[in-house]
Amino acid sequence: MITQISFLIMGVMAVFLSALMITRKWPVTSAMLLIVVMMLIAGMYGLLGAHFSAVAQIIVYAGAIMVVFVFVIMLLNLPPEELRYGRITIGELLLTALGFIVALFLGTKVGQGYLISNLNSNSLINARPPYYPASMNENVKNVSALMFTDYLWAFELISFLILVAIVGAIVIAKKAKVSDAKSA
Amino acid sequence: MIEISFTQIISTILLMLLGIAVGAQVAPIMSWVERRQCAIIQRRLGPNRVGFFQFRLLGLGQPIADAIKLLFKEDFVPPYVHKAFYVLAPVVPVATGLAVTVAIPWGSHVVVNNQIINLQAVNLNSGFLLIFALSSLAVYGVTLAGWSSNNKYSLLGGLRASAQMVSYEVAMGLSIIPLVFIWGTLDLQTMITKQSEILWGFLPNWGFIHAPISFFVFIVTIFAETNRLPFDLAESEGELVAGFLTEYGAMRWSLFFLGEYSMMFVMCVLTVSLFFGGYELPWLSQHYLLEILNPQVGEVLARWILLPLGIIVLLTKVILLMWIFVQVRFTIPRFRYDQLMKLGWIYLLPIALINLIITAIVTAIVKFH
Repeated sequence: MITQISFLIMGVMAVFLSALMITRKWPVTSAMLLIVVMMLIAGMYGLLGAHFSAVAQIIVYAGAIMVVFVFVIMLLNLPPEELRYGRITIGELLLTALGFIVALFLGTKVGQGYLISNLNSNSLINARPPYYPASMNENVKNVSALMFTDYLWAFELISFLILVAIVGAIVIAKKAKVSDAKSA
Repeated sequence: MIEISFTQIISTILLMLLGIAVGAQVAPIMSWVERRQCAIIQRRLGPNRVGFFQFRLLGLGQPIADAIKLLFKEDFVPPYVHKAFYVLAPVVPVATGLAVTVAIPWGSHVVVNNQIINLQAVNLNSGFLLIFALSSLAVYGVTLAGWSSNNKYSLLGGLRASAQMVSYEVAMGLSIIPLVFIWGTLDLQTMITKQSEILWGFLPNWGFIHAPISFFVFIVTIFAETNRLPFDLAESEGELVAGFLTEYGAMRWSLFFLGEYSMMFVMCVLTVSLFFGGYELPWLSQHYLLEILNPQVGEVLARWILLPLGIIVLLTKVILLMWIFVQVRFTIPRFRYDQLMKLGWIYLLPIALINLIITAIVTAIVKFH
């Protein structure tokens, strides 16, 4: 019971803070709110028994990626006047509408799944116990077993993609430097 | 769904409070230790006057006097700061530094009301990764303080802190993976139990003996992670006034240190648990002691006797390690910023990577043949 209530509170807070995040004036405020949202999502993973996903969420997103984001935001340190949006175009409105439709579709799908599993008296939240005894240290093992058997190709392709992105970033950074030197 | 009993809830809360109480006491005691050790190194006396009534006690009353002074100082907020973040920033290191103490393994387990109580308050499936997760959040306190102070020196300090954090976290993570290979688990208590065995008949089976390179890389990254000298580029009073701390005073200023010392304590506990057998005495494992005590007093009481023993052993090891931290602080000068980045990316990262590959190959050969 406590698990369900805290799960609900975390979910509602995550949605509310995400809405706050995209409406704030100062980029630093938005970044901090995003970190809190990440931690709330990590808490939800934890309640579902996926402790490794929860910890990885915090280490990777809140602890590393957002640190770089905050670094860049603070380095530029732009006042909010320079970050104001222009007029909203029709294309942007259409895209927003499309986003809402996709969200609605996904939401109903998830809701259906939840209702069906509830009807079978095997609800989504109760599917896994939220509390494991200390001896069950299997979470990481399961994730890695899946990663290196069923999803090996996807995993290797993604790591290759990330490598390409890193090389690309370095190439772009280098090019800018060379052209600077030529123009100077 | 597994039901959690009332006894378990109460004992978990008590264990968390134990961790937080110890974590909060580290800062005042360490401030005295550091000043005395600094004085010894520099052939001075240091704070040796403040005591209790007519007893001087080597100046141990100094931390209390300091705390009273900091509490009653005027809480001044400069008019040009971003107020909300300026107030929030010191809370972050304290919150993360004290929250992370819940992951300290104080011992194996005890029995209360016929129920097994695990002596690690929060024991997640992902083991000690929780400590990494929470410690990686502590840097936001420094960066936010630097930005919200609205001051160029402070901002530079905050930026340095975040760049340093990201650089050293990579080497830190890579230096720990060999130990996960060797012990085959992420659970600190299982690791510590395995380290209580005896290697080659005379050595304690410590992680340090299996992976010395990991230990050295890890200890260097801990210095960087906790912003200690020679890595306190964020503060760097020689060039940045006082870095992110410039605009802070009174209790807000000391909150940063409370968080920093608490995090340092937990990192030392983690080092001791990973490399030096945690709460287990070398050559005299708790399992062996339990076998001796069991016929005389029974298992329940024997485990209760072992609990304070384990805590004393753990704290002794941690105190020795923290004393090395203090020694390093007053012997090695601060790095230049480019030296810091070079050390992190050009030396520590490749060393950690090569160490990881070699350990993986050796472990695979040992385990599968």
